Amino acid sequence: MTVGRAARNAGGWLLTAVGVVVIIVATTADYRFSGSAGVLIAVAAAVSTLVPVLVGAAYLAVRRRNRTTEAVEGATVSPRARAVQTSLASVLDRVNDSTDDALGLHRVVLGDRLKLTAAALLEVGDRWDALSFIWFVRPSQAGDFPRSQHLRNLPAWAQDAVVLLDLRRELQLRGTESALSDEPGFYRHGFARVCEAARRTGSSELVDALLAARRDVGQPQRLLELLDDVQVWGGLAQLPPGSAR
Amino acid sequence: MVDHAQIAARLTSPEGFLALCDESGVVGAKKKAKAAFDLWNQADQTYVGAYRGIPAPGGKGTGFVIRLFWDPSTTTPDLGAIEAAINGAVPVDLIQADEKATYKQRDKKQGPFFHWQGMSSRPLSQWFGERFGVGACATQLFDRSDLTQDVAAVAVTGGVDHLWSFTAPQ
Repeated sequence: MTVGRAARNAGGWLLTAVGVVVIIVATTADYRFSGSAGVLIAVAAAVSTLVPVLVGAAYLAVRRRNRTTEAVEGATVSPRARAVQTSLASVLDRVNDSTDDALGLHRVVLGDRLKLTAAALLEVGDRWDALSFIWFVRPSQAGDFPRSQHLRNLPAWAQDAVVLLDLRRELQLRGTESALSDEPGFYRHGFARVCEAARRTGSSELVDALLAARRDVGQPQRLLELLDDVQVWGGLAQLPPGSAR
Repeated sequence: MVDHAQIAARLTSPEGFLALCDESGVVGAKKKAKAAFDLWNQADQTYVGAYRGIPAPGGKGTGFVIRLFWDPSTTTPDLGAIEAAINGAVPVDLIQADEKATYKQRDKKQGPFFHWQGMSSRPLSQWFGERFGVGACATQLFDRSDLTQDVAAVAVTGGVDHLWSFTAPQ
């Protein structure tokens, strides 16, 4: 725990204690507020209800702006805009926890965290973590994700990662024939696109296994093994973050 | 670890069903057990698999539960991702529409052997099937056991699937 965080925690406890004492004094003592104290309390009460609502409204506004930016071809949300959204989201987490989701924004915030966007990937930083992030949030994307602008706006390495992770999922769920099919599907990107992504990993074994599986549809075992091999992913994951490909 | 094959081996008589039921002492349970067994016995395809109930948004009162079921010999779903998806990504109107349809299509005469039916033809189950390889339906949360049961018995007759859920015997 850092010193700053410890100080903040101690400050929080101190404020809570002062609040409790004030409440006890105000409720038990025979005490009448003077005019100015009454105004002060009224203002404090108004602020404590208004601020969470304002944070909620600000979050929705920022989110809407970021969404509009993301929907445009080739555009990405600036790191600052994304940081504002993330900070507001973490404030809202506190509000939602302490008010039992009185604002009704818990689901909205969580839904945004499950969005697979270029800005979200930048925040993850480490490539290997980014791969697990993609794996985790991929099922929560909209039904047309493989053909959507959202996928095309991701960095090239992340698009390849999505294609290969989807291949792995589809292989496991529905087998080789379905996974290598050119028909549209939730985890399908077409055979040509899959091969392109496989070539970019730099693993000729993976490309060979793909071609073999396409010719002789049957056991997906070899492909699954390769897709679970750390070395195959190294080609996509070891480049420094943000580098152009 | 639940031994699904062992449970499946016990479902060879109405008594087998009765033994798995949470409320085997209820009046009429025996008769219903026989009806359940007949349905199971005459089905085109059956499996005993895993069940999981997860609280879902969109409901009132006790709230909704999404009942998931799958065959562990063919799929191993990522339950963490499923839970996140239920709380953040599944459209709430899809859950609400499915709850309505599931309630409407239930077999009203089943009593202690209550089962849900026709999941595979509904959009919510297809949403989960496509993404996670599991079947699903949404219902009101009726009992605490809806969230703790862990065994699904699924029988498919003429393209309509039937789901019973149980607690694995210790």
